[in-house]
Amino acid sequence: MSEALTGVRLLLVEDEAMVAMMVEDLLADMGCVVVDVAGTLSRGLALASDAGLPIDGAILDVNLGGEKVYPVAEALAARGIPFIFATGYGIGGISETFSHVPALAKPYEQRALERMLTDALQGGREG
Amino acid sequence: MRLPWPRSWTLRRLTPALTVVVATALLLAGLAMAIFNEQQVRAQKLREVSVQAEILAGSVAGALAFDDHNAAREYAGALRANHDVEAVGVYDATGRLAAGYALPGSQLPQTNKVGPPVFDGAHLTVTVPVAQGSTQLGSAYLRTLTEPLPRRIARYAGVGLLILMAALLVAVFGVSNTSLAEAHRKLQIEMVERARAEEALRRSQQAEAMAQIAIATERGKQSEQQLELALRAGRLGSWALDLESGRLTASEFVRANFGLQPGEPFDSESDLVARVHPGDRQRRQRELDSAIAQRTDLESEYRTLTPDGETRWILVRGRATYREDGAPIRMTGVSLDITARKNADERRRLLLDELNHRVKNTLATVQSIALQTGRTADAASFEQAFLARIAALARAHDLLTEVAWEGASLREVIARTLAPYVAEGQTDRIALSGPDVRLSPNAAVSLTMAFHELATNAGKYGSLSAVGGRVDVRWKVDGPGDATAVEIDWRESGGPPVVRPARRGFGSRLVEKSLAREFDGQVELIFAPEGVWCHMRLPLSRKMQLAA
Repeated sequence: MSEALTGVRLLLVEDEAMVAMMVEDLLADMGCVVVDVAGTLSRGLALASDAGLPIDGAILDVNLGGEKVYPVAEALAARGIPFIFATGYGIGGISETFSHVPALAKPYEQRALERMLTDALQGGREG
Repeated sequence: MRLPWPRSWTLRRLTPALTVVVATALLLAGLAMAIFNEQQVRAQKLREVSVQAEILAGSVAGALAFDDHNAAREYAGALRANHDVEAVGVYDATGRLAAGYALPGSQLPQTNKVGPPVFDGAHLTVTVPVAQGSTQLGSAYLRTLTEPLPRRIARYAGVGLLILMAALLVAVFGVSNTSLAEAHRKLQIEMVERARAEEALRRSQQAEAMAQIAIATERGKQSEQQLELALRAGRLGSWALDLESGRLTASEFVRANFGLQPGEPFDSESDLVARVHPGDRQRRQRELDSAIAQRTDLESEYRTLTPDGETRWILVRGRATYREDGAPIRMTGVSLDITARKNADERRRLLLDELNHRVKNTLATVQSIALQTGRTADAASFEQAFLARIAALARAHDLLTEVAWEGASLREVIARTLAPYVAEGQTDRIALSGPDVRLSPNAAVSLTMAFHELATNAGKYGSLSAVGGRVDVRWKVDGPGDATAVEIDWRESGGPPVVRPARRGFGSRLVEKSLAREFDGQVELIFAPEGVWCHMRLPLSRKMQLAA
């Protein structure tokens, strides 16, 4: 359990069922509440744009079955919701527009996930 | 060279004739001279003899008048001094010989009559009257040799010799002239022949030179053709850039490499630069300047924009030439369209990225399997469950590798996942039917893992755990327009009565929840007593498509 992350409501966008399950579990272990998990871009975009869905942050897998997650990122940014990327492509695979966004390299490492998420959420609150 | 044949011919022909004419003329002149000379000699002789006769007549006039024969004899005898005189006679008025003499071999006539002088052969006989006043006293007779034969012969011989010499001279002249003419003629012929030979030689040299030029040209053409072929085969364009004027000379292939239309200007560096991608112009200029300044080979790769809006990669290699003072004059080189190579490089890079991505994702999947298995299984069953899941993941990768990670078949995914749970010879316990649906790599992995959980459950507790139990999987593509989805039905039958599990494990969660989320679809898992039933409705998307 991480105090900083306890009760934090998160949106997870991850297109691989197995990986999504694990991240869900890891986040739950940190005390986060995973509000929803989207496996597709359209679903992710719908959730991110839903003003009625209370979320404090998001973890976005960059590549969703060949599609880039950036529209979701833009929707979140428009709402001022902090997020981090998760990618198997490495940092170089991220668009220049979001080069300032922290990116978590797959496979996931719990501590890195926790630290990066904490930093992002604090930055978001400060900002 | 033309020679004056007619003149030469005339000269050549005339010379002997001329020689004959001149010789004849000389002979005739000699003859005339001899005749004239003879007459002159005769006239002279006649005058001399006549004078002598007159003198004798005058001398003896007194003697005759006085009939003094002795005196007459003396006067006549005085002529003995002259050896030419053969006979001298003094005759009285009656014609009777008064005095005289005759050299041996000659005779004096007994009577004399005055008459005209008589030439007979080499002799001249002159008779003159002897008178005193008008009185005829008698006559004088004088007979002389006109000229002695040897002297005459000598004289004529001299003339003859002269004529002969003249004739000889003429002949020699003629002969020499003839031989000269002949020599001249031969010379002329030789000159003509030589001229012809020279002409022929000149022509043959010209012909040879032309032949060699033709050969060289042919070789040049061949090597040009070979170069052209090589350039064509290599799709190499050749170009030259005048560094002073900026004038550009480019071959057809350069134009082709730049995707230019026929007639489109491409004659200057600015034409070239205009075709270079704006993002590469500075770098191109830098590389060009550097190669010129450092005298190194230019090697530059840049993008070009064709008039069709296509972007191509061009490789340019070149080398500059310099004046003696070091100023660069021109740069010549080749250009090559390397778009295909660049694309291949790009594909390779993408493939590597993709491979890296997949490895990382796979590791994340393995992580997940480990975590989930560890959380839901007890220590005893962890190892078996974990290894089985990893093996399923590996089968999914085998399948993806077989189809080059593009479009794995749904049927294959299900068939391979079920295969380990059915003994050989019992494949009829499993029935699969449905259209050819193709899956993206992620979808293939997720569905493999989902069907693996279903199959494991069936093998442990469901229809595949009992003899005669079976699994039927049918799928169809259904639904209107955008809502088109693949509906998959998993039905178990013939197994022991199904008992609903006390708690939902990893398998249930994966199949019911995570799979539905991944595909943005619905999945129902029903533990009906007669057999497990799983219904999936997964919308068609990039992850799941109906085979074309």
